[in-house]
Amino acid sequence: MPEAAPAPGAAAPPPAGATPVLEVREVTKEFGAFTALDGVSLSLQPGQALGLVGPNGSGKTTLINVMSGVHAATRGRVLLRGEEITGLAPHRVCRRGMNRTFQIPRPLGPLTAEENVAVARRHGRPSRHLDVDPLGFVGLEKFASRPASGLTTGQQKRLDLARAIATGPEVLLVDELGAGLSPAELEHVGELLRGLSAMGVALVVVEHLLGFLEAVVASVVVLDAGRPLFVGSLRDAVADPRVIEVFLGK
Amino acid sequence: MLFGYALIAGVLFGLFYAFMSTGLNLLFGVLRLVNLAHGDIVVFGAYVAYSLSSMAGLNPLLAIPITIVPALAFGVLLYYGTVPRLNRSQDTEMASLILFFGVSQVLEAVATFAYGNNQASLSPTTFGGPINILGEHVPATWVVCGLLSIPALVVLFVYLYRSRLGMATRAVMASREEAAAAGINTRRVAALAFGIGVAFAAASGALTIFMLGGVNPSTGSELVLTAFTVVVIGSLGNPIGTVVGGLLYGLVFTFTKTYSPSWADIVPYLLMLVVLLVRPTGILGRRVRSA
Repeated sequence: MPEAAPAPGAAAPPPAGATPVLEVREVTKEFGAFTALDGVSLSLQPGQALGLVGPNGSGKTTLINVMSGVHAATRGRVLLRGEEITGLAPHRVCRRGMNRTFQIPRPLGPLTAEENVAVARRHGRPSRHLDVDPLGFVGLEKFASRPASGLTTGQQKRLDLARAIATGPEVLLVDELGAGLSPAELEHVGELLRGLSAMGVALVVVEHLLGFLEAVVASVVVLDAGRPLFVGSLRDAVADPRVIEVFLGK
Repeated sequence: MLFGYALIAGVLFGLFYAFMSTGLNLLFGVLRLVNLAHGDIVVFGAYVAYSLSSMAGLNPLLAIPITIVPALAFGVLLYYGTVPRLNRSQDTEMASLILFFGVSQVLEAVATFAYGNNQASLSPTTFGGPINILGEHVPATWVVCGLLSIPALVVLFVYLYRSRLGMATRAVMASREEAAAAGINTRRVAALAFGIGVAFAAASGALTIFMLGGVNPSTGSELVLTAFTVVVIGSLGNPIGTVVGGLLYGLVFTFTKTYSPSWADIVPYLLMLVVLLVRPTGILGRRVRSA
């Protein structure tokens, strides 16, 4: 009898005692009196894709910002391959092997698409390149010599992904890559993320589009007001009364 | 006749203005801060040229290589001593204006202390008598200073467009966050850009003393205004825009000076206002998209 196909973004079970590629331990982020994240923990194996969902203001992008070094955590730790990276500057986090895309991509405008990728290749992790041509992987090779500012929003999002891939990440934080894309672009981007996952890149995918998320990740963490509300499969999440209440109200 | 003279003088002054302003634009491009002490740093370079010539009897243009390294070091130190603190303040732009205004006042006071309030000038025949260009007799100092601005600008453009660090600098100018996410140490790149901006300002001082006919300690406040106008006309944060802005400013200034001298100090600023109204991001600025 043939084996059932694995769920998208489901990494092979790790050997006992294997160190996760990414660990977030009890991370709290306060902005003055406002607590944006309150004791969030998660863990990822190589190639695993984890969705991060929640209503606006639940702390998804803040968590991405803390993990990628844009914001310093008030408390808690972030570990990459078991090594402490808490509080490192973004370029150091990138060079250690974790990178991100931006909700609103701001590609290096006057530079061409090719130069955007070249800069990332040069300054990222020269010792570990993924075995792909980043521009070709995202389908932008025809636009290599075009200034990034002249690309459409969808193309800029793919260029942002190519820039992140060019740095050779082991963990990629994907912040609402699907927002504003056409159905065809969504399908393409979903394929790209599944491809990265198959290459062993662990993904944290922040997304509001649950259909898109279902095609990419195996499990999700639902955040509410900076706290983890639910951890499990997306199918179970959408049936959970607490999750429904958070999104739709009582 | 007058037209040809105004045209040649305009191009020479334009090249000089581009060189004099380019440091201010580089700094703004990388840090989004306006260095109000820019003009005083230019004046510092002018005083070095003045001292070399009038006190040591040396060629005043030696001030260019002499000032570059100390000015670069001063710029890098000024960056590390001030900018990280400015970035932590609640209103970085306002705090930076106040801080650089303070630096400007200190430099002006030091210049007054060292050289007094009188105009410091060097002989207009330092590089010989007028040079005949297409039938027009143009002061040699203008020709030398205008033409010397070209290799200075070329050096900057080679750095920005042909070197790895230059590409990283342009990346930081485009988006600091994206540049950091590309693995670029944005702080180090910004510090170097700050140093280069200050070094270019100081180096252009050796030409300023000839192009303006002399300097005094308060010349810096006029120069920063001129430099700011040049970069706004061209495009804030765009190095090529500074060349375009400088040339346009130089041409408008010399043509007005030739045909209607009493308007010469007003028309370049009117030009800036027109550019701001018609194209707020400057002649070479990117269109602002409202998403």
